[in-house]
Amino acid sequence: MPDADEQLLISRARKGSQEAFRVLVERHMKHAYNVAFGFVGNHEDAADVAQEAFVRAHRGLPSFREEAEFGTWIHRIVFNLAMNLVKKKRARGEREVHTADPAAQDASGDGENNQGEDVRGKIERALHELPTLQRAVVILRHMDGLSTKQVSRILRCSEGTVKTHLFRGLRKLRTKLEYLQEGPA
Amino acid sequence: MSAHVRRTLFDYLKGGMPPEEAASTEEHLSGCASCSEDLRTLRQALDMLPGRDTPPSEERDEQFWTSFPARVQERIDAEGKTGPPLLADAADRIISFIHVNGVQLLAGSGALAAIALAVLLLRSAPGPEPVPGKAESNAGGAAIVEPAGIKLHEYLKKSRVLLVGVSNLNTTGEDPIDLTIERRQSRALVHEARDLRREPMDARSAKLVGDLETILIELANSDGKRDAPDVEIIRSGIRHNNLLFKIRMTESALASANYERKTQ
Repeated sequence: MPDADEQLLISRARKGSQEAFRVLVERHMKHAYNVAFGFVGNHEDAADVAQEAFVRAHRGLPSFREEAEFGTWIHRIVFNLAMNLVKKKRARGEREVHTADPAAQDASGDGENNQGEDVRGKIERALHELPTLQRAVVILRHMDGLSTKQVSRILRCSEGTVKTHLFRGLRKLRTKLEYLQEGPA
Repeated sequence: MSAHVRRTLFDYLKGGMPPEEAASTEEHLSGCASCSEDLRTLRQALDMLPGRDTPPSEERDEQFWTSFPARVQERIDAEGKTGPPLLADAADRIISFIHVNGVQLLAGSGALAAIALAVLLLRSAPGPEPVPGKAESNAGGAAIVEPAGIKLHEYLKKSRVLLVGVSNLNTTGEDPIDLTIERRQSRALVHEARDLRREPMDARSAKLVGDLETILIELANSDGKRDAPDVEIIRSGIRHNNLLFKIRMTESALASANYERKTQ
């Protein structure tokens, strides 16, 4: 259940208040961005996905039930948009892996940074190879630090399912990362 | 020995577990080789997969965040000018789309043919028919068999066919999954649900319509032509809420009440 203040904002936004919707965007934009980044792995796409998620939310406001959590709803839209983007890119054969810090990219001549990028690339690659739900749970729960309850709401499954997918996903990741570190990348 | 604890080992390692549960987990781990091995595996995985030191949002400058709401608003305004896929227009669009493209759709892949068939069934479905059922006396049944009950029955039938189709989609193949028709049908059903909500309805049916609406909005808002993740999530929602079972139960109750009314 959202707090009364947020409920009021949602109610006003549904009636067409741009200002109320802007406040909702301001409240949730960073979290939406972080979740998007967890899936797409670069700033440009994360910005695009996060902005598009709010556009979709605005479009869906008339059907939104006010007793629901706006934050959970936005996360769910972000998750769907991000997963679709990743799938599309994978279908096109794009395999871009960016470092999280743009400054690190500028210093690409540095051997230490290259090594860090390599490790990150392997993690990204291993994550990409996980089944969708396991990947989503590992990113949302471990990388983004959301609670089991929040993840279960976003993915619309039980908390037990989240825990099971988390364990299986991490176990599979360990095997994949071991292989990637020992074998040819 | 107590039950295995592998599902809670993440919380145990990350320190997100109440002390008494942590103590009970440790007790189990001391006598269970299998869970101890799982703990080692998980610890190694977490060592290899560090969490983020700083959230990615902190890597963007202040200007980016100051202008973020304005950029969202620009997109919303741009969408308004180019004509958004408004739910209110969805039904008309679906009908024209099917009229124009029905033949080509049926000539598509097996999955696509199944989808088209489901839509054709929905379109050709007759009005509410009397379905034989138990003619038990049900004083409360008459309340939901009035026009709202008939509309609800139709709505549930269409939703059931759509959700069964989505549940049976083959997402393991290499071919991309095109949910265009499902998305459009969902939009029409969401629109229909709005009308339904204005009618008097018993609490259980209202809850079912609400749960269904959530899933249908999800389907309507799915994006692009490769929707496998969406399909998995939607399926998970259908299963988690037991939607198909609840629809069948409500349909059965409506049919019984309808039959009873006609025989009176």
